[in-house]
Amino acid sequence: MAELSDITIGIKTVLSRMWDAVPDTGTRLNRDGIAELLRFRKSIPPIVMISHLHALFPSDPTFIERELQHVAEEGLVRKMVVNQNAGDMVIESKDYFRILHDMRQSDKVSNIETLDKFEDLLKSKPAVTRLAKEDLAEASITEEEGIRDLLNIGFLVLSGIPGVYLISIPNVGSFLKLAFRTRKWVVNMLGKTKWKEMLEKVVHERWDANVKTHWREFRGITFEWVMMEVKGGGWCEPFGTPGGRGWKLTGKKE
Amino acid sequence: MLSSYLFTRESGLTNPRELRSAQLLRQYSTLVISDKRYFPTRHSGIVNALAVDHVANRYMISGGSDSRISIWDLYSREGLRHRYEIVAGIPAKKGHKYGISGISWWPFDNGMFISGSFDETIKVWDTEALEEVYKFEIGTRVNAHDISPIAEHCLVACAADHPAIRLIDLRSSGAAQMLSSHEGMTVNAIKWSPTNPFMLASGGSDGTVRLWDIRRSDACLTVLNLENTIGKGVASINLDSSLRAESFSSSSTPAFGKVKSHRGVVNGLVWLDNGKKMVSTGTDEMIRVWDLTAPFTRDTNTLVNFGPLVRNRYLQCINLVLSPLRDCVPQLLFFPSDTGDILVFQVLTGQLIRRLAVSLNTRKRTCGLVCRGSEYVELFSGNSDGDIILWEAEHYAQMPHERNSAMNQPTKNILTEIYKGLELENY
Repeated sequence: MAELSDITIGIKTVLSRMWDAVPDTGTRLNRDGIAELLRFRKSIPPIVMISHLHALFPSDPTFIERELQHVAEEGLVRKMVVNQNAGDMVIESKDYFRILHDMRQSDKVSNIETLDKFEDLLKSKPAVTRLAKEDLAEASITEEEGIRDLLNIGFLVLSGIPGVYLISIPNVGSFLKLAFRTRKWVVNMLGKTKWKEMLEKVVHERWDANVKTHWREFRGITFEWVMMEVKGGGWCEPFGTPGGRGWKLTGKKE
Repeated sequence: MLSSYLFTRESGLTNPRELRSAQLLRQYSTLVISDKRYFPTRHSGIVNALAVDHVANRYMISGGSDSRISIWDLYSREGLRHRYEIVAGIPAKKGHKYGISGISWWPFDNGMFISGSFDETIKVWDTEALEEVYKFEIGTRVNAHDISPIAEHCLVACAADHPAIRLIDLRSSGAAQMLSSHEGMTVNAIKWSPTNPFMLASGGSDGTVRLWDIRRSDACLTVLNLENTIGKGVASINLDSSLRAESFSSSSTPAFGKVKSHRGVVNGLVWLDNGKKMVSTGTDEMIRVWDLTAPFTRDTNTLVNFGPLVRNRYLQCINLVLSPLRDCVPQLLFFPSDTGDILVFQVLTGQLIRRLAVSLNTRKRTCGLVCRGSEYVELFSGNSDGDIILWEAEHYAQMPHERNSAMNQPTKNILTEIYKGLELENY
């Protein structure tokens, strides 16, 4: 089984470029603030949005879509679709199951076997992003005990449809909130201009100038990560100018 | 490149059609607004519907939100200044009371055409006399209609603000059948199969594309499921046709939950001419290509991704147009995006070939769209200002430009860095 794929390389690349190194001075955070920031970064699961992958390979979106399906079926990655507006997310399976394993230490689970059964169920259906009550029942995960536990610790979330649950991972909400807020920042920034466009240099300057938000709210996430998400998701598109690359809103609405 | 094609064609090494296909693809890749041939503005609202006759590819009907219908003579010479003229027309408010949602020529000759409107009627017109021959009261706004290009039955299928599809029989001038299965409030797009006279596809506000066989009593054959994709993940489906809406998910559980083709309202459909593939679009801003051939399952999402520039948020029916079959292979898909651009894609790979911008910064929405036909590299588009525009191939065009190189650079840098890094690790 091939362990290497453009998708897994892409995931590793995006993750490696996600966070700015915390400098000693200039963050306007005290020691507790920095500790909290580092703790936050550790608590976020190593997820990548599919829009990031599309930004890495802009010339062939069909390739990404098919390759993603392929590696999901191989069991290398896990796709998650928790929120339709947010977009699809992907995580390497080894990271997903490591986090599932680490849950054993937590005291939120009444029965550790539920975690085992859940893991077996997920491994038997590698490409699935949602589960019905019946599927869980087949794996002997009962509604009262098992499903409630999984909902509590965050590995399942409710979908709009009764009896159908979406596969998720703990702390996905914090990740998505970060993605939403940074995306909104860029869209608003470009939206303020007359033609809804701005030179990348200028956007970057404004980003850097925003020291307080950058470290406190956005936790020191990199400009690159945000722009990749916004490009791959189709919110902005780049164009060339004599003064460098520029970014323009595509008109995509919430 | 062209000379090498000519050489290989002469020496019989390649099929002569390949040269034609490559040349036409190049022409379609360089579509620009014609500076010589133009239409005077006759419509005062958005031009929703355009249709070119199948017999001579000579007459085009335009219908708009101002309820006006105009028939244009398309005869013109490339490269010469020409103003298209109206040969006949039905003034606003006389034909229909409200805007036109769709127009189609009678498939077999120029004698009749059919118009569907938001005034809740479908009317059949005699072209010579410009008189209404039949009128059908549908009872709710007609969003789209279609007549089969090959069938002997003269059934017009209507998609309206109602979950059931009405089939109207023109021979008996009465309602023939109602196809019920859609669960939402409206059906927004409808198209007959180009190869099977009894099969049609519809898209509705319930987010599903449904295939129908009108000969069956329970006519709905299947619901296209976006989770049914090519590859191992497909559940083992019972291939006989008692297929219902539930059991297609990759978790192979019956009554799984609502199956969806799009995570929004499905508002555009077009069949590929071999009847084996279909393209659908929805307000989730996705365009999906479905494979309908037997070996996989009945309906498979081929996972073709058309990129992040697709804008589709309005509920109005989107006219998806394919380049003529006999021209370039594989065909091009013309998609009128909400931002006013017409996006030109290669339909089987999702690659963006060109963006046709009507005007640089004012966002005029394009709605009506039609290709003139084989032998002509002409695309007509109708936009929200009431204008009809001809797009033709740029003369002496260069090779299609590579996409903006600024976009490609970050990718190259990241990947070369990774591979260099990997190389170092291995030693």
